[in-house]
Amino acid sequence: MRPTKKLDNADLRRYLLGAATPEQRSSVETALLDPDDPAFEDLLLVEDELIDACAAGELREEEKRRFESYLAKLPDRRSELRVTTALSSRPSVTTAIAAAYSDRALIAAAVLLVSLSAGWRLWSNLSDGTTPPIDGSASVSEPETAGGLVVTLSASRLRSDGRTETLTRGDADVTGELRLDLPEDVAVSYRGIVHDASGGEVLDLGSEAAQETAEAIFVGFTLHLSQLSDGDYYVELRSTEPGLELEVLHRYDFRVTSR
Amino acid sequence: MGNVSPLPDKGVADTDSFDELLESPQYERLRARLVRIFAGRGCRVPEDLADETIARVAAQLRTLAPDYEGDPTRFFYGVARNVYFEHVREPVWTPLDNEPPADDERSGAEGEGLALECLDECLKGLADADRALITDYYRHDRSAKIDHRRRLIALSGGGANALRLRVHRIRRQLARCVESCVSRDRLL
Repeated sequence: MRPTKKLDNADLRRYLLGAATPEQRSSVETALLDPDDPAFEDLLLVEDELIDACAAGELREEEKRRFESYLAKLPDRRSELRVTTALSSRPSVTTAIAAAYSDRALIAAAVLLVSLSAGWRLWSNLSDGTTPPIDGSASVSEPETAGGLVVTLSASRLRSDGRTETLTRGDADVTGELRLDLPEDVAVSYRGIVHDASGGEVLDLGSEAAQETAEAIFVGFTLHLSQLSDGDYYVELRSTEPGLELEVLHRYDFRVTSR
Repeated sequence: MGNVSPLPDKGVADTDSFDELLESPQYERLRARLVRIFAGRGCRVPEDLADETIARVAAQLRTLAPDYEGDPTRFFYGVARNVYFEHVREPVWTPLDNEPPADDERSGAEGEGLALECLDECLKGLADADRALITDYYRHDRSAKIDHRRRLIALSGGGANALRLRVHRIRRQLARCVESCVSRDRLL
């Protein structure tokens, strides 16, 4: 059984960017040597993410300097940063994406498209009155990209404000993009954590940067409904910004039901 | 993480448990953890300090471990802290003859060209699917990247984390290949 997690990735990110206090640094170091703590494995994942962010120019100058200084002492990781930077600055590759993947992946993509097609009809219950949004603030729209369904949820601040969107699944696995509206973009990236009604953490949606269109600012996450059983849930959106990472910025309530 | 534990179980430390650790396949993992700690503290030679820490723990096993009660993690951490504080008090000097070339010198235009040639060569050595995935994954700038990665996630048939893990595994493989290629070509 995986041991209880004591530190979160924001702690580790702060540690790697040299922004931890002496007490926080000591906690991380102790956790790194503790065999019952997953901190080391998590640290490697955060290193991976920061290498991506560094190569993409997404770190602030001071963060970049500190992280590069850290990587300079880890030859393997330093090479990874160089490779990532070189790959990021290469001219576009003309290889068709479809040709890039194994047959299995192509089959999976085809199945996904069929699922999305089926799922679209099911999720569109939202707009046909079967399960109307309570306040009409949530919406489902046709996909703007090849990513699939798009469900937009509006934010409330920390506690539920009674707005609950209903997502209806069918026989097939439904995958779509969950768009969480933001009143304003305050962080480089955001982490979405799905909780069940009792507050237990059930799914980590990962971290994404905010996107801005003419109509809205939002953070988009991929959501597989098959990962959730029927019930009430909410997404907590946290900032991964150093200094703000412990703060839950917004809450988005939704309900999953079967057809 | 029980079966990959790099340290003995918590509780009363004994010589056998420490010995077991130093002879176990988890030794490298413990070393990697110590290297991270020293690198995080800005030490110039974190690998040397990690080795020094482990050597000291090994040297103290016979005398200290039988009477040491508590979490071996704390024991390692205590030794690592001592090693660190001794290190930062040491004057830093290196004979000029032995001083390694600065990173910037080695990564001049010539070195960069060689590294890029090696990268091309190493990319060719990847499986077709891996090569296409990693070049596609990193090819867009920030605004287009998010949409592009969503498409990659859909195509790969897994989630975002699965895709990220796969890309990072390929990247590690590529970095090792490039390092090896650059070192080989420099020797020629």
